[in-house]
Amino acid sequence: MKIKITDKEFLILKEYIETHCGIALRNTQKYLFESRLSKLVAEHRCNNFTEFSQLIHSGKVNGLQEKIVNAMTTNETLWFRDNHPWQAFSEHILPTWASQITESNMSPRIWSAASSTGQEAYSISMLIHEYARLQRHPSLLQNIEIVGTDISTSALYVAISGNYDEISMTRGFIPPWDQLKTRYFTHRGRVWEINPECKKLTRFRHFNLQETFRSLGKFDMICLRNVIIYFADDFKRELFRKMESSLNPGGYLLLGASETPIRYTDNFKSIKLGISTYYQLKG
Amino acid sequence: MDRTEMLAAIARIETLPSFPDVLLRFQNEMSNDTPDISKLAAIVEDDPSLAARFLKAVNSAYYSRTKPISSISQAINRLGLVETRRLAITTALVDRYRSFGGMVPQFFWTHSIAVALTSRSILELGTHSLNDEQKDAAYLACLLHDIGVIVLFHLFEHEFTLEYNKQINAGGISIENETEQFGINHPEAGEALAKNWNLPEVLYDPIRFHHTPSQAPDSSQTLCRLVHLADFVCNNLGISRLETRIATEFDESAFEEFHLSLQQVPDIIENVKVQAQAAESLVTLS
Repeated sequence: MKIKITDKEFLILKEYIETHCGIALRNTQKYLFESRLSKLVAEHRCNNFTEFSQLIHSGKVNGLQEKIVNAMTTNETLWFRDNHPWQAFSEHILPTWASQITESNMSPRIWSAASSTGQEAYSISMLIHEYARLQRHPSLLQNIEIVGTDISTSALYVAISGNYDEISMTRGFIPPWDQLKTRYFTHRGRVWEINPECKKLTRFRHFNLQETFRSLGKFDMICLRNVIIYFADDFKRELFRKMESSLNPGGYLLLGASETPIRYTDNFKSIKLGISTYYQLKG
Repeated sequence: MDRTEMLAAIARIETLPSFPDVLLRFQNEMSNDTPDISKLAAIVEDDPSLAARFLKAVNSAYYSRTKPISSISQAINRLGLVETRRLAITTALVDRYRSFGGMVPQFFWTHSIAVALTSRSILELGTHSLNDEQKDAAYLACLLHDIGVIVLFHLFEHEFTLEYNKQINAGGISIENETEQFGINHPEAGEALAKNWNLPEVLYDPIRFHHTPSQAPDSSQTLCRLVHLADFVCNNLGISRLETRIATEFDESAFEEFHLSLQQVPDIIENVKVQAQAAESLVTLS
């Protein structure tokens, strides 16, 4: 069910969303409002976008801003998204961390920001388990923590449950990752459940990227993939500044293939790991 | 037929088996200050098939504590009045609606019973201000939330079965799809059937708005949200009617309504796994 939006309603809402949610929108994106916000409009018992706009501006509904961000930014996710960055992670980053754990008791922390239903966090967890198994490095499993955050309670519920259907399980489990499916999941009826040992490395919590990052602590790698594309320049700048403060020296930043910190900060250097580009905090 | 004609047709429908009268008879007896246990037992005993099924259920792993129960009166004493009534209605429904259209009744009832049992877990883990009567209504609403699917299978038989099977892999028919194809969706059809059956009014909105609880009138939102959330929780574990896709989204006001936190998700899931086994055992009793 789609609710039509008029030009006037679009302009009012666009301005609100850009200012308060940090999401950049083009004038040609009216259709996005109709396809992604209609459900929210109906859920709040508004008959049209004018009523919805009035409701937002009234500030009477708690969490409405977050719901808009959630609806406008897609929850699309898959296992080992884009493939190459994960090969690079296994071949370059994990070996470095493994020796640092042995030598200096390092405890690497990874943040899967905007983790949605958890596929990225669990993909990382499976890679860590694989590395520990193949390199006989069990202490890796005691020292690494993966934090997944999202603003959607529904998505976090699914992530914490670790339950996925058959179709979700076909998305991204291509060679060489396909063998991990049977090793790290239990297939029960219509559901594939991630194994407890993979869950053990992860922790999911509700978090809005507009908040200060201080409460999350410091990380050695941040994955914020295909998220910043949605945001306006000012908010992108703010995000990079906050990520810099949240990374330990030499920490890695993994962005989506079409995203880059250039134009927003000079504090990251671009490094090639295999054929993937990671950004490393300078200094 | 347009939507109005469709609702009128459901209001007159006589070709579906009627709702088991156990509910009404129990309600009448239980509204007395001192309900007579022998009269309540007689309601179940009147239907030998129901009585046999009821006793098997009471002695199943989920309910059975120590000594086997051999009579309905003994069961009432052991379970209490409310639980007895719930179990009697559950077993009567499963017994009466064993097959319809292309639906696999085992999945349908396992899902419905699991949702009903899950609603209790949600209320236990969360905080709420529902009284006993409302909690009882919640159980029934959950048990009956999908009865509109029976109506659609019944009214459109082959057509609905075909469409249903075709869309299973895409997650089952969405309510928008149902409206588009059949002029009515299963929550609306369910509400119309509940009215036809003269079920208590308190059940109408939770059946009608179990997919869209925020659109329900304020007075019934709590129950609508409870059914909605219990439905999602069961689907997430694959305890669904037949769909192969797992829903990844629920109306978050439902989570907020019962002041649940994400830290409680593992507990909710563990409880539901137990409930699902109970639901399955109640359905598969032969």
